[in-house]
Parts: sequence; C-alpha cells; structure tokens
Amino acid sequence: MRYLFHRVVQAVVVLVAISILSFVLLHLAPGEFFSEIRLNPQISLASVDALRAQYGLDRSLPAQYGLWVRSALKGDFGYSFAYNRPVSSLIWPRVRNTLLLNTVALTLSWLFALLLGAWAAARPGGWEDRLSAVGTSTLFVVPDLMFALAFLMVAVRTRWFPAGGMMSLDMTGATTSSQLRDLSAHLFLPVLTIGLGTFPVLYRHVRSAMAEALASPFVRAARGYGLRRNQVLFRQALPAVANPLISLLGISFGLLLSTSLLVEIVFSWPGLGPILLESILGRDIYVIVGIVIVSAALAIIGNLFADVLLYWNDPRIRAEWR
Amino acid sequence: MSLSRTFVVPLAVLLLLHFVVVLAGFIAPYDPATQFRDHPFAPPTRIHFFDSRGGFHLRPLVYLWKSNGEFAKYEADTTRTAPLRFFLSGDTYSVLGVFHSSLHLFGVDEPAHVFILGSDGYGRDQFSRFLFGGQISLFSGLLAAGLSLGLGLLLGSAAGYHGGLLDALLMRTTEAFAALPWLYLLLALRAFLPLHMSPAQTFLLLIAVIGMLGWGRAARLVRGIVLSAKERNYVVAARGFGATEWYLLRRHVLPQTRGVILTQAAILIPQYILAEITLSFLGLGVAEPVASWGNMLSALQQYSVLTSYWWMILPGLLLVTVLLRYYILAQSLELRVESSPY
Amino acid sequence: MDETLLQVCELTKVYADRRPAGRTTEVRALREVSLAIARGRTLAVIGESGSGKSTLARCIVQLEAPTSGQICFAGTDLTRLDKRRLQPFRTRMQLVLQGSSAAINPGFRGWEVVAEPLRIQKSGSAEEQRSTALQCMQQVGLQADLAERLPHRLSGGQLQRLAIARALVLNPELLVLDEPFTGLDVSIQAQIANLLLALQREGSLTYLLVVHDLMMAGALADEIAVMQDGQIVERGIPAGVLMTPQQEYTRSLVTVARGVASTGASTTGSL
Repeated sequence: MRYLFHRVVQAVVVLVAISILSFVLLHLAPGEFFSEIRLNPQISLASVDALRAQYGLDRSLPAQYGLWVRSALKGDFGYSFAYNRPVSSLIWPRVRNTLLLNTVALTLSWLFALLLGAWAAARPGGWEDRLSAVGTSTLFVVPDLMFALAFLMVAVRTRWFPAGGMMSLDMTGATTSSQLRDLSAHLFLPVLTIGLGTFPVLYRHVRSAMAEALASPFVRAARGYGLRRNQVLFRQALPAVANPLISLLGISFGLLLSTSLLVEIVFSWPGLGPILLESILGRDIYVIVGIVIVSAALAIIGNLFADVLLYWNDPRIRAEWR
Repeated sequence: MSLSRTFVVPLAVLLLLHFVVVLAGFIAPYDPATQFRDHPFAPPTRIHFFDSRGGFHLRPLVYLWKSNGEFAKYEADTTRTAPLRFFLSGDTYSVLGVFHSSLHLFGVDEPAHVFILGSDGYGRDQFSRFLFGGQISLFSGLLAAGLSLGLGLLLGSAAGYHGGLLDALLMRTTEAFAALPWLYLLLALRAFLPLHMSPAQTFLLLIAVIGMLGWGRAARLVRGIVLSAKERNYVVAARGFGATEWYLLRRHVLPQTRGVILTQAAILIPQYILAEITLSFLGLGVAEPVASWGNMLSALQQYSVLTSYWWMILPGLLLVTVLLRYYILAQSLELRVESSPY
Repeated sequence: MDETLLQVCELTKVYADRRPAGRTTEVRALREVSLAIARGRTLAVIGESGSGKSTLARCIVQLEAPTSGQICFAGTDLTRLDKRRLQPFRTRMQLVLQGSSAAINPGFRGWEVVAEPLRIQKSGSAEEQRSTALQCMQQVGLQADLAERLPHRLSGGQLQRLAIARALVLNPELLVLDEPFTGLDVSIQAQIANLLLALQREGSLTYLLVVHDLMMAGALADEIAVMQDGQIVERGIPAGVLMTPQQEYTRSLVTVARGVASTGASTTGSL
C-alpha cells in the first residue's frame, strides 16, 4: 500500500509540475499571446475582458496560477475564449471519445501483439518468426501519418467506410444496434491506423521477452519433464515475462495517446486532438493547458494502473516495500 | 560480410541524400516558392525520348500542356515540344546561405514546364519543394538529435559519475516524463511559442523543442554505462597511477558510451524527422511558403486532393524510404554495439 | 640490506554500510593490522575471502584512506601527507590487481595499456613512452608482436603479464599484488611465479603478495601473514606457518590446501 501511495504522490507531483511549467512558458511570451488574441477576429473583445476580470491577466504569475487552480478545483479548468464556456465542459465529451478510440485500439493491438509474439517466439528462427519480423519491421518504418492518409483515401474512394467523424448525421433517432454498427464503422479505420502504428513496437518487445523466457533454464526444465508446449507457454513462461510486459503496458498509454492525436485529426474523430490543434491555432490558452494536463493525467493513470499490476504480480516488489 | 552491407549501404545512401538536399538549389529546376498559377495540380511531366512521329532524340523532350478549360485537367500537346536542357541558368539560390548561384542541373525553357513530381494547388513544382523541404525535414531531425544526445551525454555522465542527488533527480524526472504522451507535449511546447516567426527563428526553435523530447532515454543509457565503467578495475588502476578524474572520464569512461550514442542517434533522428513533419503537417511547423515534407503532405487532408491527384503522396513514399534506411542502420548498429569488446 | 621499506602500524578500516531501509551497519574490514617488509623481500598475506586482504592492499597503495593507523614507506608516514606531497610516493609503489581482464581497458592496445602510467604522469614524449612500454613488455616475457593486440585477443597469462608490465613501467620499489594467480591455469601460474621471482632478483623489488593459495605463498614468500576477519592471526616463515601452524584457523587452511594439492596439480610447466 505504501507503494501505491508513493506512486500516486509522484503522479500528482508531475501533474502539478506540468501545470506550473505551462504557466511559466505562457508568461515568457505573454505579450505575444494576449496581443495576438486581441487581433484574432474570432474571439470577441467581451470574452477577453471577461477573462481579464476573472483571471487577473494583468496580475503576477503566481496570482494568475492561483486563480487558475481555484478554477480547476471548482471544476472549470479555466475558460475558453473561442467557445465562451468553461474549459472542462468543452473537454469532457472529447475525453470520452478519445478514451473510446484508445481503449479499443489498445486492447486490439496488445491482443495481436501477445498472440503473434508468443506464436513467433515459440518457433524461433522458423518461417513464422522471420515473416513476422519482416512484416512488423515494415509496419514500424511506415509512419502513422502515411497509414492514416492511405486509409482515408481508401475510405473516400471505395466508400466502404465513412471517411471520418464518429457518427453519421442521420443516427440520432435510430436503434441502439444500428447506432452501434454505425459507431463500429466509424471506429474501424482510425483503430486500424493506431493499431498498425503501435503493434510493431509491442510485438517486438513481446516476442523478445517471450523468446528469452522460453529459452531460460526453468522453462527448459519444464519441457524436459514432458509438459506440453502450450502448457509451458502459459503457466511457466507467461508469468516470467509479465514484468517487462506490464512495464511496457504502462508506457504504451502515452504512446497510444500520441498516435491517436494525429489519427483523430486526420479522420476528424471528435477527440482531444482536433480541439487541441484548433486551440493552438486560435490561441485559446486555457484550453491548451487543460488538454495538456488531461492527456498527461490519462497517461499517468494508465501508468499507475500498470504499476499496481506490477505490484500485484511481482512478490519481490511487495517485499521491498513492506 | 552482410553486417557491413547493412551498415555501409544505408549510411552511403543517407549521406548521398543529405548531400543532394544541400544542393537543392542546383538540382531543383525551380525555386520552391514560384507559383505557376495556370498549372495547378499538374501531373508529373513525362519525359520522352521518342517524339510523336517516332523520331528518336538523344536529348529527351517534354510536351507542353494545354488546358481544355477545366480546372487541373491537362492534355499533352504533342505538336509543341521543348528539349530538356542541362546546366542552364534559372532562379537564383544560395547553398548554405553562403554560396550564391543561378546554375541549375536541368530544366526547360518557358512556356514549358518540367514537373517531375507534378505540381501542387498553387502550381509549385513538387520536386523542387521536395528537395528544399528535405533541407528542413532532414536537418531538423539531425540537429535536434544532436541537441538531445549532447544533453543526454552531459547530464547522463554527470549523474552517473557523481551520483547522489543529481543522479536521483535525473532518474526521477526522466522516469516521470517517459510515460507522458510526447505529441501532446510537443504541441503544447510549440503552442507557447509565437505562431508567426521568421523561418530561421521557427527552424531553430523547432529544433530546440523537438530536441527536448528524447534526451531522457539517452541520458539514462549513458548514466548506466558511466556507472558501471567507473567501478572497473582499470579505472581504479589508473587512479593509482595518479590520474585525475577528468582523465578517467575522458579516456576510460566516455569512450564506452560511443556505441550507445551512435545507436541512439540512428533511432532518434528518424523519430525527430517525423516530429517535424507532423508539426508542419498540422500547420505548426515552418510557415508557408517555406517547404517541408510535412506541409507538402498536409494538402492531402482535403478529400479532393487525396483522391484525384495521386502524385501528391509521392513525398510520403520517399519519406518512407529514408526512414527505412535509418531503420536498417539502427539495426546493424545495435548488433555491432552488442558484439563490441566493451 | 635489511632496511624496512614498508611498515604498517595499527591500521584500521571501518566501512559504513548503508542499507536501503535506512539502517546503517558498520563493517570492520581491518582491525589494527601491523606488519613490516624489508627491502627486496616478499611478504605473503593469506586468508579467505572477506578476511580484509584486498582492503589492506588498497589502503597501502593509497587507493583508500584508512580510518586510523599509519603506513610508513621508507620511513615517511603516508597517512599524514596531503595529496600533493603524496604524489612522488605513489609512483614508488604500484598495485597489480586481480582479474586482469577487468583491470585492463578492452579498448586499449597492448603497449597503450603498459604506457598509460607514463602518459598519466606525463613523463617523456610519445615515442619515449612507447619504447619504455615495449621494454617493460619484453621484461615480462611478452613478445613485441603482442604490442598492437587488443586485450580480448590475449590469453589470461598474457594479460596478467601485461598488468605486471604496466606496474613496472614507473620503476616502483614496492609491488602490491592482489590475487595475481586467480583464474589462471596452474602451469601459467607457475610461469607468473617464476617471472615475479626473476624480476625481484633483477630489480631488488619488494613484494606484498595477497593470495589465498597457500602453496603459492609458501613457494614465493620470505614471510607469511595469515588474516582472518581483518586481523593478522599468525605470522612467520613459510616453513613454520605451513608445517607447524600455531593457530586453529591456520591449521584448517593448511589442511584444505594440502587436500587440493594432493589431487595432483602440477606446478611445472613450459612456455
């Protein structure tokens, strides 16, 4: 339990550090920011003045930060100029959509990575192994952007898939099952793109960890006792590779979020990505800060989850922290 | 042996590519910002050795286009040809900002155009933009990696050598930031810089921002090596001969980081190239009219471009081959480093 | 020449072992150790792992500072000297470490390894350093064609000779050898032993030999000291210590060694 507490504290420290860092960077070029905002015709002067009043834009940096923290605790996380509402009301629905996309992609790419990695590792040097290695290397080299554009082109040309967005326009009154089908159709290409982007990295680590475990003495001993290969795979080798793979899981959240940012933009998936870009181009500062913190928090929570799994799985860590 | 084939060949290809890109002004027929408004989205110009009457020409020729009134629909006018000329005079350019010239490797006289990779919506030659864009994309990756590795080497060896608080601080911060989504952080960092800066400023600032992303991993690897190297018996022995700490660092410890630094370079450079391309694709990188492979690809976000003008994706395909070279290089370096005596 | 070259008085070394949970325990590596070696003689310090022999060696060559006690070299107490005044003494005694493959930088060529002390001390030009290094290599029986080789292409025996050559290049008066025979074939051990004896004769070197092999100690030493738990429990001439050990501990060591020796290890060998 001390372990978990320690990790949570570390997570909070990082998030606070990021928020402070954002504010400091903001302050380094405040002239640019606010004078540019005034010049931006999309943002009404009334919004800017409201902001000045609420957040004391002329006051010192620590004071501004304090006001922002107060707003965060209230649940607002600042104010969006462009949309004229609190940042959180703008971001939360987006978070949900990003999470949906990422969870599906995470599950599928890990599933394929585990299955294919174990399969290849069980037959090292065989044609399955070498073919998979070549295939995943190719996938690794092609950037996510290219996959996204290619799939988008497929969607537009063949019309087999919707070319972006999350929901078709005529779905609002439809039955749940057809809504679900529509959602799946919209999910397919973005998930495929994200999956192809993250799968090679996962596969490589899974395969090498598995191969190492399968070649280790205690597994060979188990084979020597006559245990069948699959039995060995799942009961002996898997727990041994769990550690590095759980750590990899922790890192993969951040990786996935980054990939999905680009994919969301290309496929117009209404997640955090498009709104972040829009806010940057529109100089909607509190939205930017809010999204950065939320995305960092998502990644950190994922990492924490992995830490908990690690703690639960590895008796050594439990012992160290007694 | 095959090991040197996977090392020498990609390295040679990459060096050649960088060399070509530096000489972009000479090799490209046009200035990247020149717009031919009457030829938007022209497909790649075909080069012919045989003319329409079946005659063979040693010097290849191109046909002039004639538009049939519709937007971006062209037909080759086989009655009007223009020979491909070499070493001709054209738009002026500078090499590395120092050397000025107006000599171009090849081109055709007006009113003909030679668009090897086609033209974009403004009628700009994609081939020229690709070469000039390569300067931005390739070199920002290179320089950002240099920054990252320099920083990582400095901080990693300081942490590994002196240990204590510095080391603990380094490990904690790099560990904490390793889990974060890099693209979000990159965009945020970019957001806090002014949107409109001069191209030179943008270039340098982009390098600085991108370079901040990956120094952590390099620092940790260097730290690990320094930590184990400084305990070795030969370091102890050298200290016994009266060596200063600086000598030990310089002659015994740091040389061992060479392998790791090289491998990390081969891994980081392509990642950073992609980071710059992503930023430019989103409109947050170098501003138009400066070309980058990223902003060349961003036109593809429009469905019409994506489906009708296939040549616009060619920069992307060429990008993939560059990344492939770096990947092969990284693989072979990893193998070499593993088998080195250290 | 019975001048005492090295005299150690009441040397104590205490380590603080910081455990991760915050508890600190004390490790007494050396407890009031005293010994003396006359010039041109060999003192062998024997004992099991953890007896403190290596710590003793490192303290004597000033690689570690003792907690208390004195180390007198040719009459001067080294523990009282500051770094600058210590410098000239450092070249007069050299340490040859155990596990030569880790004691030599794998990236250095043969002659570079030997020349390194000269380079650090900045004595002579690069060519002079190289020729001195080659000379020392010759002295220890390494042919000149090994000079350009990297360490991973050299055998264990050759590496040990290289380490000895490196120690000789600054013309020391005292050589402290920490387990020079560990990890080597018995026949190679014999070669190294013969080399050490020859070098001692030629250059009237003084040796402090730290070993755990009693037979080797008996063959090389003029005097043997037995260490246990940081203390010297017995000392005397080899014949005395090995044939008629006074202490229980020594007796047990001797019995074990006799058992090993009787399994037929031969000490004669050829190059």
